[in-house]
Amino acid sequence: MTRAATPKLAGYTGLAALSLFLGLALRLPELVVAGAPFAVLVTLALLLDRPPDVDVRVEFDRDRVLEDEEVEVRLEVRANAPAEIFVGLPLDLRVVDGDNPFAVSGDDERTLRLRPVRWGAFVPGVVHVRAYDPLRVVRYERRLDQHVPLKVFPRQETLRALARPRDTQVFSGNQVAWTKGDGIEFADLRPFAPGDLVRRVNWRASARRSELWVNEYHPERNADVVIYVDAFAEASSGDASTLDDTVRAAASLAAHYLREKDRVGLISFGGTLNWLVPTTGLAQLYRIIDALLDSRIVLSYAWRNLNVIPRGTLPSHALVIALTPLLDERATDALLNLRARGFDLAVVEISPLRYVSPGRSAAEHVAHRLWELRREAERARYERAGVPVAVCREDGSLGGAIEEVRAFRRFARSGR
Amino acid sequence: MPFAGLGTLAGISLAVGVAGRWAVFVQTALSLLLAEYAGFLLERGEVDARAPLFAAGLLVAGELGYAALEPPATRRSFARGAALLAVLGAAAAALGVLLLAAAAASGGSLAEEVVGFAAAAATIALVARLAWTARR
Repeated sequence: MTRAATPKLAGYTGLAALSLFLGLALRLPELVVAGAPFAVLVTLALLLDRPPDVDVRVEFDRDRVLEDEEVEVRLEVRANAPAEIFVGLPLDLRVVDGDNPFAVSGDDERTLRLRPVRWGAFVPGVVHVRAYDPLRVVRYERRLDQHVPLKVFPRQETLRALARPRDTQVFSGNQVAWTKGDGIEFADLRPFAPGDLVRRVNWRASARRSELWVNEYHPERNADVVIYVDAFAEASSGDASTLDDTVRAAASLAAHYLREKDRVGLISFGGTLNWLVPTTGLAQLYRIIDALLDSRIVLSYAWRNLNVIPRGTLPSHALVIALTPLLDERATDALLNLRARGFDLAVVEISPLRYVSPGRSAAEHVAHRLWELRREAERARYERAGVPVAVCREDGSLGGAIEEVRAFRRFARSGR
Repeated sequence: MPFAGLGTLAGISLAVGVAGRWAVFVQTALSLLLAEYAGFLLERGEVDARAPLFAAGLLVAGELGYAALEPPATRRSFARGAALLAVLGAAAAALGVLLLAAAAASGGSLAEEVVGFAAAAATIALVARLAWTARR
């Protein structure tokens, strides 16, 4: 705890000195009378001064919330002197109810209601305490580090349909495989062969052909999905950025694919590389969201390629869904490299247009138009490689972009 | 007129200090009030029996001025502060009465004046010493 004088101490001391000496110099005892109380007050305050005992306990009512969901912070103050308390909060945690800072004169309990306006992993809980002696001439300041973690999960969008992978894996799931096997989705008919189950005999077809024919089915299998987050660059305006939209989209996709029993992995590729090997289950969803909460743009001029991605992170036959603002050529090259290796790739463009103003002058308009043309050229590179590019705009939802990908994949057969 | 000017300046300074939360303006206001009172006493030429009231008023003004620089108090601390302020005002007035009585009883000899200066210097030295310790 640090101790410091308040402005009152210097003020009263100066006033006492001035009045005492003026009184003596001018032979005016009234001035001594006027100044003496200040001298006595300061002397008494300093002689009786004892360091105050102030402690604050910070407690959130939950440790995980969704964006824009309110959370309460309970502050339990134990103080034996008047004190001012200020809880240091990140800018993305806005106080919607309660005072911060606030004054207490003893033991007290306060509640702050916060609204997180952006996803992230926060560790608030740095409490600044300022206490005074009873006559407020000495100030004591203390910083209490009570790191209370709070995870704000990104908002998730409801998706009506998901982009289906080209290939499925061997484990059971919800995707209808192209191959034939045990399942419930009818695939074809074939002549009976020794070993076929009697319940698979299609009696109607057998009667028509005068020999036994059996039904064939598509099995339901799971798939590997890798969500690729382009973290090379972002466009931002105010509190919002393309990275925010990307993280929300990635969390939504991961949640939906995991619900379908698919194995989902994550690659955050940019100035730094983060990855999660595909696996399934609710724990993987939390792993992915935790990894996404650490996402940030790290400026780097290094030319990175996919060789830095560990083996196993990108299983063969995996569907790679890339979420990119198409702002960095390195991301495009890496994704086209993936496509050239035969990966099933779909690109969802997180449009940065709403964060970029076209400007006011003619030259700025031309520059903006050139930039848009360059972006179209980037999209054309993907399309030439048979990769669908769906744009997730401000007015369009992620669901709309996924539907675009589905439509492209339905009508355009990509070669390996 | 000069006294009214000093008083007006003091009022403006106090208002500016409270509005902008600048302690130096509160201090200036208190000093101006003291200067105004000194001028009034010099012109009057005789002992002012209301000096204890002025002392109490100046102390209360100072306490309120500095309190206004701090964040709003809770209801409980406001009540406690108001009680403390009343006690401080009464104590200042009582101390003033005692000091005035002591001044009236003294003969005004050279020895007493020397003792008075020494006492004043010692008091200021003690307060300054304590204040310096507090600053560190």
